[in-house]
Formats: sequence, C-alpha cells, structure tokens
Amino acid sequence: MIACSGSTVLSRENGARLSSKSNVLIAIPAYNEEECIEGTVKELRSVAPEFDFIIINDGSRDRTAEICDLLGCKVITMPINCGLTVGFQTAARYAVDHEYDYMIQFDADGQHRPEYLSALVEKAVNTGSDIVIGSRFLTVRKDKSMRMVGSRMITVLIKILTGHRISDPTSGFRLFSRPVLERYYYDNTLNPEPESLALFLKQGYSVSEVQVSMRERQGGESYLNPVKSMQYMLRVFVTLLIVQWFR
Amino acid sequence: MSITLRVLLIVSAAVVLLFVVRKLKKSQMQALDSLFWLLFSLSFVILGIFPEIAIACSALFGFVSPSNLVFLYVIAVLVVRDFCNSLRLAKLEERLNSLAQAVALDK
Repeated sequence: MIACSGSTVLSRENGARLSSKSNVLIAIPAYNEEECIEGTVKELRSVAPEFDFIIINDGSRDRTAEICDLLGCKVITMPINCGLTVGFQTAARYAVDHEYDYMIQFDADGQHRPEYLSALVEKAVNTGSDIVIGSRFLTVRKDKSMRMVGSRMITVLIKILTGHRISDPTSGFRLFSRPVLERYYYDNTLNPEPESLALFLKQGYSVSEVQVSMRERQGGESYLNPVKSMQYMLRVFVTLLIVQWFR
Repeated sequence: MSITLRVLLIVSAAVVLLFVVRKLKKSQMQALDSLFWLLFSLSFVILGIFPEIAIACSALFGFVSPSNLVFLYVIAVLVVRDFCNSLRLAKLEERLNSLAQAVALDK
C-alpha cells in the first residue's frame, strides 16, 4: 500500500485541517467507478501527495462508497444521482466554504495523470489565469475521429464568439480559481463545460491551457453513449449560439 | 387565413420571445427548454408571415379552413409537450421521494 506517509504530509483530508499547506483541492466526481477509484486514489496519493482531494460520490449503486471508506478518503455523498454538473457545483461550494484558492476537476476513471496537477497550478499562479485547462491538443494535432470533429467545431465557435482559442474545450481536466468557483456557488445554470468557459471568457475571465497527455479510461463504463454525445453537442451549440446572447 | 390570426401569431411569438429572454437572463431556464420555445415561436412567425404554407397544407389534408390547421398544429405540439412534461414530473417526484427517504434514514 502506498497511502499517505503520515509525518511529512499533513492534509485536510487526513483530518489535520489547520496545519494543511494545500490551497488546492482536487475534486473527483465518481458515479459507479468501483473498478477505477482505488487505482486513481492510490496514484494521487503517491504522485501528488501535496494536494488535498475529495471524492463526490454521485449516488453510485456499486461498491464505490465502500472502497472510498476503506481507503479513508474524504467523500461527499450525493443521496441520489445528480449528474456531473451538480456534483461539480457541490465540490465548488465545498472548496469555497473551506477557503481553497484553486480547485482541479479530476476524473475518477484514470484518464487524467496526477503528474500534471502541479503544472496546472503553476500555470495559474504564474499567469494569474482564472481557469487553466489541461489540453491534449495545445501542441499535438487532433485526429480525424467523430469526437474530434465535434471538439473542433466547439473550438471554432468559441473563437468566433469570444475571440479566444481553446484547443481542448471538452477536456475534463481543468483548474478553477476562487473567483470562478464563487460564480458556481451562486449560479446553478453554470456547468463545467465548454459553454460556461465561453461565458467566462466573454465576461473577462482569463483562460489558459497546459499541454497534458491522457490515458484511456482504466475500466468501468463511460457516461457518453452515441445518444448522450448528440445531446451533449446539441446543448453546447444551443447554449453557445442562443443563450450566450441573452446573458 | 384572416389577417387577425396572422397578426396574433406574430404578436404571441414576440411575447413568448420576451418571456424566454427574461427567464434566460435570470438564469431560470434550461438551455434546451429555451430552444423548444424559441423554435415554437419561430414557427408562429413563419406561419404568420407566409400564410401560403397553412393554405397549401390545409388543401392537401382537406381542412375546411387553414386556421383550423394552425389550431391543430398548436394543440398537437402542446399535447406532446405536456406528455413529455408529465414524464419529467414523474421522474422528479420519484427523485424527490428517494431524496426524502435518504434524509429520513440519515444515509
């Protein structure tokens, strides 16, 4: 077992709130992730022990809660499945309430690599960006798959609407600073998705990107099936094209 | 199709638009719901500006008057919408109940 090495690392999630030096919270939404969650937590603890993390168990019906308990993680339990957006908003409220400066959205399925966490934080600290995206395509070209066609269309649309280029708008590996988290605290129509990024850009928040690499998901099932993907694209486009103008 | 009906269609479309924009501004409406209302009111405008569409369709289906077709169209869309809403409501009720149970059982 890797676990936290006690003496040197004091973190809020170990219950040592006041002595914690971490001003970064890693939020891990998890819905039926029994196959992946253990690996993700163990890797986080060994690779990035300096950051606090919290798991948002979004009404999982499998052993996710039990595994988190065994691992001794800090967990927010949603009594029913509320979806990624509500889980994220809950984590944002937690981060604001507990006075974290930054919150990083991190997948439970093992797609995101913890070795890039500090790169995101460094970028935010050095550039003063409000949002930092872990981008797969800042220096790497997108392939020609359907998924990437969708991603390209969103990139182009955001460029037209806001004048800013976001190379990987659908990346789920993002850092949010406190001012942005406070917006999520009070406005529940905001979601951690491309359309909200565009809205933040229009309202003058700064967004920057850091090149990262990601893995395939390490087990379990993805949120996105073809029907959900279509709904996702439709929602992003409608919000970008129509709703943005009225807000 | 009478001029009154055409004007009424366009005016009501404008009113719907006004309401939707207000609700969106206050962040009280979901994006996809607003899409429905915007498209629905757009169809009012199209029917109001081009009565030929309603006239041609009513001739095709054998309606006595084009305005009957317009009424039927509006009623049909709203019935489907109501059906969808009752499904959503049932789901919402179920979620509320399981939420209440979770709180009651202190889980």
